[in-house]
Amino acid sequence: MTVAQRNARLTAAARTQPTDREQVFESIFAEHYARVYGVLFRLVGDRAEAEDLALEAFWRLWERAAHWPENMGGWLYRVATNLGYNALRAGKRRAVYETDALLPEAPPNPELAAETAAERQRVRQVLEHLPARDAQLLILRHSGLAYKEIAAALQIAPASVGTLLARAEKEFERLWENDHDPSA
Amino acid sequence: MTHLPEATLRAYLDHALTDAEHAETAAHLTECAVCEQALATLTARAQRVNVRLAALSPMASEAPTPTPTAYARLLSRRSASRKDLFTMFTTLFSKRARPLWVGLSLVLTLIIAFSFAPVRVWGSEFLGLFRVKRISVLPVDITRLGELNDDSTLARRISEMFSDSVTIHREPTPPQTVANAAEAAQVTGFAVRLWKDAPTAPVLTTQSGTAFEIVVNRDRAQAILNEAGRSDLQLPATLAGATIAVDIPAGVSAAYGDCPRADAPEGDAERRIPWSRLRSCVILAQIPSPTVNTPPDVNVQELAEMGLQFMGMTAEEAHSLAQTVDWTSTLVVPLPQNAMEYKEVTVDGVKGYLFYRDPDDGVPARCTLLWVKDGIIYAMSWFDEAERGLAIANALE
Repeated sequence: MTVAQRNARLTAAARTQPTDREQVFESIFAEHYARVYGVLFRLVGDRAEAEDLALEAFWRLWERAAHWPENMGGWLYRVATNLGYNALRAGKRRAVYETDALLPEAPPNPELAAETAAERQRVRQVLEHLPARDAQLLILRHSGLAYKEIAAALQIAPASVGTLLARAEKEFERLWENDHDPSA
Repeated sequence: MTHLPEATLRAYLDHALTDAEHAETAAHLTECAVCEQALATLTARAQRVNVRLAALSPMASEAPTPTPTAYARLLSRRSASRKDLFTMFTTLFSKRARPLWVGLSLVLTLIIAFSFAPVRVWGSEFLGLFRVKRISVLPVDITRLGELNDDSTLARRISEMFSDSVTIHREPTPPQTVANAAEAAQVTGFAVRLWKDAPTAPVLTTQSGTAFEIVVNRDRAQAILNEAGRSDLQLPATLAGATIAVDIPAGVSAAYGDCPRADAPEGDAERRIPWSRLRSCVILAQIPSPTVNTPPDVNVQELAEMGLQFMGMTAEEAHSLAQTVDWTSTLVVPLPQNAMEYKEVTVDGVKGYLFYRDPDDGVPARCTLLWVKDGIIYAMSWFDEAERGLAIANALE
């Protein structure tokens, strides 16, 4: 039995059995935590904040234990990317976070770290200006989610993921180039 | 020849087509120069974007906490499920101050030998409550604790220790929205008080409360202390295997105006209200005092002294301060020096504390009032002028 099959079985059981509910939740957590973190880290760029938001997403899933969605993974990534995207837009202190994030491990070449930080900031600036769905699509894909998972997370038809992804990339690139030209 | 849609080409590039579709697309591409060119354009762009996005990937030093540890953190957060009531505290003790609370929770660990993740802090995490009758603020010098803040291994070990030793007897259930004060009183079992003459009707949310037990693993706690460089503080032997039972009753929060809603639906945009609109927000939370039972042979005052020493006080200072507080009936709020202003006020006919943080970074001033009356703990938070909130608190019905 695959993890997904097992979860589907457990999800059905969990609607009535609290013990199973606990099991389902734990297996969902084990399956998705690291990746949810990865998605959030890319969006917010701060380890502590990404972990906090990841726990927040799981927390919300737990709070809905009585009415768990059919596709828990999809629901989870939707909530996580919403939290992350909102935090990205709200994150005035992004630059500070990024500096902090680089502190724990002193890089051999400080110049490189500063460059990485600047690059990250620029990429996030572009994401911030993209429509939410485009930014979320790019991040989810880059975090390794399959088309089906992305479709479930963003509530779009699986067949349209390719089109929307191509469009988001085009828009990303357009904004990236504008970013290099301050007059644009 | 019909050309392939962009969706197919992009999916082909990601190997996201079925085997049959993939083969079909590949065959078409060998024959169609237009599609081949379109694919080349898509591929080049996708690669360029990927290179940009790769900058965001976590580096080795940014890897997440191991999953079991993260799960333990979530469990302790869940068992301390009192979400709405803490909204004000997360505001009060903002993210910037958060690492400090890791250190503080370490201290409180010693005082009563229980604590939770340093987020969503509420009274019982500050200190073992027996039955709260009064509140006291304890300004602490955090220089000493500062060294511990960076020690995430230690924080993790503490969190693990708790998740290993907690048994939940009454699971918290999700918050519930109720229609009015009468219904809230029915759910929670105490008379709920509200803002008289409020300009808008409140959103009333009840919290289920929770009950759990902790069996103290003295040796493990001592090992953590030793690791923190404080082997001079020896936990009493009576603590070994002691069972501490905590019961947190159901509480209610009333949110007036545009407040961040903890139970916002999954879209959650409304959780992030512009600060300018938050000025209309007043949150009044009330909860009957939690109870904590410890075995009679655990000397709480001795533990409190140890906790104070851990915070950096000398043995003498800790001893004399510990004498002045009745640890079984006082909710002690340790407040880092300079974190925010506070003052003692008379509110609702009793002594209370007003915490005030200056406006900064586009955020209006944040105020919180904390008081205890007739066995109920009240906490009220709002933005802007302190006087406005005091007037509301003095006219609760």
